[in-house]
Amino acid sequence: MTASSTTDTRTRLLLATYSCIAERGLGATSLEDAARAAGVSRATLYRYFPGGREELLGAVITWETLRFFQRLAEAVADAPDLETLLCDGMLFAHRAIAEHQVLQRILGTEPELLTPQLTVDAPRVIYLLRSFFLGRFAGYELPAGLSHEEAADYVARMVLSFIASPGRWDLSDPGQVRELVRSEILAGLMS
Amino acid sequence: MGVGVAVVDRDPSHAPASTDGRARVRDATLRCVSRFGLTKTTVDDVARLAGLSRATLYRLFPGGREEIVGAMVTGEVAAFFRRVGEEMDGQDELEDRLVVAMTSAAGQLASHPVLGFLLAHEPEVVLPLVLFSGFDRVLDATSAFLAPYLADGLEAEDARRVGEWVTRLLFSHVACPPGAAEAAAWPSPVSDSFRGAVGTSFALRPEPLEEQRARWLVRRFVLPGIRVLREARSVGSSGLSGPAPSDEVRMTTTDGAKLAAAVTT
Repeated sequence: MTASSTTDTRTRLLLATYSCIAERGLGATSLEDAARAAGVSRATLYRYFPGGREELLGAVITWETLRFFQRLAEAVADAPDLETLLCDGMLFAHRAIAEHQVLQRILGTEPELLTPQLTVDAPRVIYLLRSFFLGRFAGYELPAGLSHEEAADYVARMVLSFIASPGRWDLSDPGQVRELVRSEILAGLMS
Repeated sequence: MGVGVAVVDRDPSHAPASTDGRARVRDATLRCVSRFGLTKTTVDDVARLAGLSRATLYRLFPGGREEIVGAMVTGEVAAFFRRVGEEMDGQDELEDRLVVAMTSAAGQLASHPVLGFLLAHEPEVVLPLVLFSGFDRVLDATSAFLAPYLADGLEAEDARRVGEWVTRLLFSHVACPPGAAEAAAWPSPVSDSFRGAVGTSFALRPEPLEEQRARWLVRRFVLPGIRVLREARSVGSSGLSGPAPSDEVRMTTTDGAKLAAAVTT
């Protein structure tokens, strides 16, 4: 078995499990359901996910989280500058979360099955976003006393916070998003 | 109400005995939950520790266990905000108020025995309250509380937004302290079980926030953002009723000149 076919099979298993979750939710998705949907045996599933159902569901959550942020990165790939990137990113992310049917249903019916894994994934998402922004900051001069790593870390944390919980801001309103980006995210990078 | 619980010492087993029934029940509930958790704490446990009969307990709390736990939570949240408020009252400068709000909040969260136990052993109880719409509710409450303390030269809505902002900064630090995102690399395809991941990549243990770090965050990001908000509001207005000298945000000469230019054009 080559490395790539291992990864492909694992992805196939995750995708099949995700389709089960989309159909019946996290709590009602058993290992058997996932095996049947993927067309593999339980033994095969255990080989890829030794922790069983718990590990499999956790891995699916992490995987879809990663895919969400990949979609986000693609959506802002052509942004001409940092402010546009952040504004477009917030608008896109907010809509994508609201329109994410599987996520919204789980949040409404069984959030306690989702939130522990998301909490585990939060530092990973920050790490991912930080790497992304580090790349985007390359051409920018930052104020003295602010390193690119620190700026990327700050922006990553704020972006994740707003995406998950908009608070008072209407993130479907481009004017509000611009105000948010200019005051709370970029002001410190520009001063 | 009778004698209050000790303010500084967060260990409920060190709290002085209280003569008031409700206060005793609250002390006892704090001790039980911090030791055994929420699920395993029973009305009998609380009654025994409070030195009250079940009958007395139900007379004080007709709603039973739910009301007892609710009263404990309400009390702890009120005490939390009260302490943060006391810290801010002691500061004249906006920057200092922001800094002590964050350090006080982080310190309290890091040392609260009930929160510590729940996060470590019953996270499913706490997490929905601090993620997604749960966190929106937290932001609403904290921003309402903080806004009056941050109102110097800011419109009401902007003061609320700044209150939200520092809450986000604080929560991000508490939930993912510096260093956690370093170690937590994206999982490799073939390893990383759920249980193992919980233990190694996320502490689920709030840490205090050093004053130095809080001040850096406030100076580097929050104060410039407040300046941007003020400038945005002042553009086009006939005059700016600026902050009173004792309340003004520390500004450099350049900032002052920029603001003056925005006002007079």
